[in-house]
Amino acid sequence: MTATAAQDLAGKPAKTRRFRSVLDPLLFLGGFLVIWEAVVRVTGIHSVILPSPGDVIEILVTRFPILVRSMGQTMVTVLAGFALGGLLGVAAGLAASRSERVRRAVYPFLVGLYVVPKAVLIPLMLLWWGVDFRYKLVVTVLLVFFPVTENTMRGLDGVDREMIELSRSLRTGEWFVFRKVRLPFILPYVLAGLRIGLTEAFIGAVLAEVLAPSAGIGSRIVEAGVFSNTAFILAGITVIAVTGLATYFLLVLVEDRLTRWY
Amino acid sequence: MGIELRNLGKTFHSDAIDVEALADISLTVGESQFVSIIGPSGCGKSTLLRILAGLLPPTKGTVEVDGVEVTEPLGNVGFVFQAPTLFKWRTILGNVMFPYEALAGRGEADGDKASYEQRARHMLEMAGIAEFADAHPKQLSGGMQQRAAICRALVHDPAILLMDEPFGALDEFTRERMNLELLRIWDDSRKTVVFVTHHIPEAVFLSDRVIVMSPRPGRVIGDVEVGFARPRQPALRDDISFLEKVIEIRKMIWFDAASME
Repeated sequence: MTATAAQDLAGKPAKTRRFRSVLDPLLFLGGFLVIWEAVVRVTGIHSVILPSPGDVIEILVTRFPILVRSMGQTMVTVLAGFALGGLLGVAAGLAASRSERVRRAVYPFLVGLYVVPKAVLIPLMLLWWGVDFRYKLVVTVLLVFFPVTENTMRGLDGVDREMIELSRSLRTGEWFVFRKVRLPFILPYVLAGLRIGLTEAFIGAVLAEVLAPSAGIGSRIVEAGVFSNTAFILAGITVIAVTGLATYFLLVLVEDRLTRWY
Repeated sequence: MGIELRNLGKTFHSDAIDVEALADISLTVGESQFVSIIGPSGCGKSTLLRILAGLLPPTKGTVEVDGVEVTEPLGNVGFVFQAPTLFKWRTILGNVMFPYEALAGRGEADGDKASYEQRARHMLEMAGIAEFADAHPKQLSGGMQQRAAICRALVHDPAILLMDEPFGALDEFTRERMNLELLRIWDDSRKTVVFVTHHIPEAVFLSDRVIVMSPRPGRVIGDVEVGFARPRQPALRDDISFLEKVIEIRKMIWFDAASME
């Protein structure tokens, strides 16, 4: 019998499960690094093309302050864009569900905006504002906005009709139904939208920094590229990945807590 | 409270066709009567219940509750659906307290929160789920969830209890047990109950009267008095007079179906 993903840790004690869920990814990472190191040594490939894991770790240690400071600058954009895009997304989702007509009129426009790669909006914004914080924020907000709006609308569409009937049979007003039924009902949908939005926020913020170098980790990576400092590029990518991973898991933790009983 | 339906009709309009869900229903439900409405799917039972509650306006005719025409949601009804329809994010007690919040919101709750909570806990006790007051719906079985839903429908002491196939999703054994428990709880207050079902023995076991409906469009084809003494005992189900009632209703439905073909 072959073990499926779900079966693997089923039935094992919680402690073992937690331990293994940390150990297994670390084992994979270790294996990945060993193979990488081996490839570099065996092929003798030049460190500008592919530095060894050791080179990258060295940069991570020696250039730690600048890497962290740059990532911090990026995180300001990520979090501001995430918060603003999330808020606007929920608001737009709620507004769209109030009126079928508004929704019909606006929805194709929103999808159109979503499929346009946000990168092409950057020249336009640079033209308007020059290189400052605003273009990064706008790109990030736009990326976060759509999945949150979409999920909020889906959630509102899915509200159990009988829950609303039950409330209305007690002569409650629309505001009561909204607060006590619709809003708590859509919580898991909104949180799932925000989870997608968060990854989009990282994409948006770093993309903006790469395309129009200014502050932030994306811009430092572009500079390193100019100086053929490949190890720094890879170190920068590692920092983005680790920060993104940590933020994502934090959000998943919050999500699990809030939707524990759903 | 008594309910009076006069020449009630309901037609749903959609793009392509008009569907006549109910046609010319006239019916009187007396105070404290337990009335079941039975009939095959598509006979407009659920629609009728929603019109009674004031959730849907009728196309024709009128509904009166205690002599007053129903034109908007009644407010003093308890509603139980086939699915427990509990709010997953609330505890069981929180769910049972929902009607209090609705009524208190416009100053119509009789009694303060503490007295309501006492009543809610008492209801849960009667339903045998007192120890789950602080649990969440997903921690309870389907049958227990439905008991909580019944508590929620009764906590605000509504004048009328409307039940839309409340035990339709339960297995036969649980259903029979829930029938008994519903009667036990109902016996405490003797509210007017309109109980929709497509399960004939259930309708006979619970009711003072069984209204038999026919589909497309929904109309009343029979009105059967069930005179068995209360409180009803489980052994009633094996009684020959009980089976005769069941057969009488079954024949009505089959005869009607045959005449349609």
